[in-house]
Amino acid sequence: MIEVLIEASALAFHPYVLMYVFLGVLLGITLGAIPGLSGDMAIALLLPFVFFLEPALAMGLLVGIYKGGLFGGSIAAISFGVPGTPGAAATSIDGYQAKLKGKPSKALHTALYSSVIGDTTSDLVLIFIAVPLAAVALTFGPIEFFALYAFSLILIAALSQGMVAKGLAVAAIGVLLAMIGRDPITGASRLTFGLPGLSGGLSLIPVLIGIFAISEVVFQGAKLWRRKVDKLMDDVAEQASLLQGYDISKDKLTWAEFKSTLKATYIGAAVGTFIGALPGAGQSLAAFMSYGLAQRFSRRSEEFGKGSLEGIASAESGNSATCGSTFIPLFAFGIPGSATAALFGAAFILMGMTPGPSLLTDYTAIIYALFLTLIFANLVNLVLGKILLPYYSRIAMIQPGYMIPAVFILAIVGTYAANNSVVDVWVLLFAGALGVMLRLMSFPLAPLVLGFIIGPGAERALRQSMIMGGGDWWVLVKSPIAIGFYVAAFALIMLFTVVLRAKK
Amino acid sequence: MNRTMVKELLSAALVLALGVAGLLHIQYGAWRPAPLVPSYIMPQTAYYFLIASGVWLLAALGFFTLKGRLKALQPSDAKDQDLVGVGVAVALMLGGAVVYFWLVLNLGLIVSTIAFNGLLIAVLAPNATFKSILIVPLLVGAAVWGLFVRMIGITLPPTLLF
Repeated sequence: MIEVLIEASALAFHPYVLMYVFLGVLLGITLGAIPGLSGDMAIALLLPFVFFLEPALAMGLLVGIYKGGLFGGSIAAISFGVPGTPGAAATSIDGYQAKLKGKPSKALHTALYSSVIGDTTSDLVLIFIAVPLAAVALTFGPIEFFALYAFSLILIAALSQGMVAKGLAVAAIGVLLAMIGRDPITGASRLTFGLPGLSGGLSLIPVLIGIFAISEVVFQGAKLWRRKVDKLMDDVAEQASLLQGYDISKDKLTWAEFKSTLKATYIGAAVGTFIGALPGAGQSLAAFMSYGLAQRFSRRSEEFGKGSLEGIASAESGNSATCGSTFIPLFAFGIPGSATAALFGAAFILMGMTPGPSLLTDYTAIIYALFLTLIFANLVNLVLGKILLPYYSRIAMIQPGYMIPAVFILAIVGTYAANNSVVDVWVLLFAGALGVMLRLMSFPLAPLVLGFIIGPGAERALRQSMIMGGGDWWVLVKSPIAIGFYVAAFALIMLFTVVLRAKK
Repeated sequence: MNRTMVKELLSAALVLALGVAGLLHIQYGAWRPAPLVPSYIMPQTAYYFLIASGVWLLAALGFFTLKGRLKALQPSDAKDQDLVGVGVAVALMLGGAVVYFWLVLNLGLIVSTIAFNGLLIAVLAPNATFKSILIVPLLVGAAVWGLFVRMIGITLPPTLLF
């Protein structure tokens, strides 16, 4: 064992590997910060190069990009209200509000620290209890998975305080959007309105950016236009002076503020680690669930959605805490639990290594080197993040009159670049228009996106459960774990409805 | 009828219409038969949720109207939107984006980006100057070129210009 650790350390801390980790984190943060681009996309683009690299170098680069990309997504989410990655969608809820209140630096630092804490927790879990935790996750059958998906949707709908019915409605719309395309079992086209371009389904990136970003950008554009028309020069001067008036020394995260976010960070770390280990559950679900639970357990729950640092910490910690644990099913059973894990699995195969239990026995030194690299990359993320954040904080305060058009164009071109698909651009604009309409009618947007993300998984779980039960709906409540999820969901709805009425 | 009531009625109508239309589509549409569990089971579940939400919205609207607390239906921080401004922004940005992307496919990415960015700044930036309308789009065009053409290697059909 000692020999293996020495060999793994020699591999992981080789100067070239360290350099590749630095490069990867830098690239990941930069790409993740651009709306429409993500670490996953960069990993996919780099896969052909992996073939020509030593395994340790390739892993260093990919791990760096992955971790940097996860944190980078929160930069765009906080600075522009545009989640740079799907996992950062929950971060944008409070992060962007904090930025609008003139606290971009506090928000970004909270995101950085909680991201690193969540990520490190997840990596340690991966290293020490990978196999047992994977076993627990894999005891979940379709019935439990469907209950988990239903619970998640109800939780996020219930989060939309005062709008539970609207939350449930948009979650259902999100699920319906996810159903567009080919039926996974029969292969027939569904809900495509006869358009061949839709038979492949709607991609996540255009829907996500359209609903969250384009609609926000349009509303910002409307405000700018109104100011211009009304010639409210005082407002203009105020906007113009934001950059000059912004004092970063007053926007530093204090120790007391950091301490106040720790509970939310730990909740996010625990939830994210657990969700990350569940195949298919993903970063977005982890972030939203962490956010919801942290809000429930917070003494200042009313501040959530209005720029709460706890909100940012919980979402970002939950998002990043999936980072290590998402590899658990891949290492233990060869099942990629997420898109990222699938990309890493592809990289392993390109390097001649078969994902699964044999990885730990056949390539022990490389896998342990990977574990060490995962931890080291967190340190690099922290250091590079600290160095880069002051610049990002200032960039975030640039006049919206110039930033909004640039973000809008980057979102369009970034969406196209993700798949080189023209259909994705039209989907983006449609989703943007839908987002504008829903915002005008005061519908919450987060449940729609969550419904869209987990829709396919929920459908698969529902259909598998129904097949197991011979078409009988009662099969859904035959598992104690599933019943627990349903009872919790019902209790949440009752709680939020009653509490809301009592408050108003 | 005040604005909140109109908004809530429209929301309920939209949700109910979607749910009912979906169920009619399931009833009369051409769905390929699937073994044991029909392929519309998930959409059907979603449509039921839509209808239930619509009924819930109407019930809440009736309840709070009778109690005279219609404002309770709105989020505490809700503001009335500037509908004219939103309409202009939608037409300019979403409509403009359709034209922009058509130009990208026919004229060229960088030229179209500079032109569209210049237009958006000219119309939207409250204190835009002639200099800023000329310089900022060039910088954005350069950024798009560096990121998407040089770094990512975006694939576009052959175009007339750059």
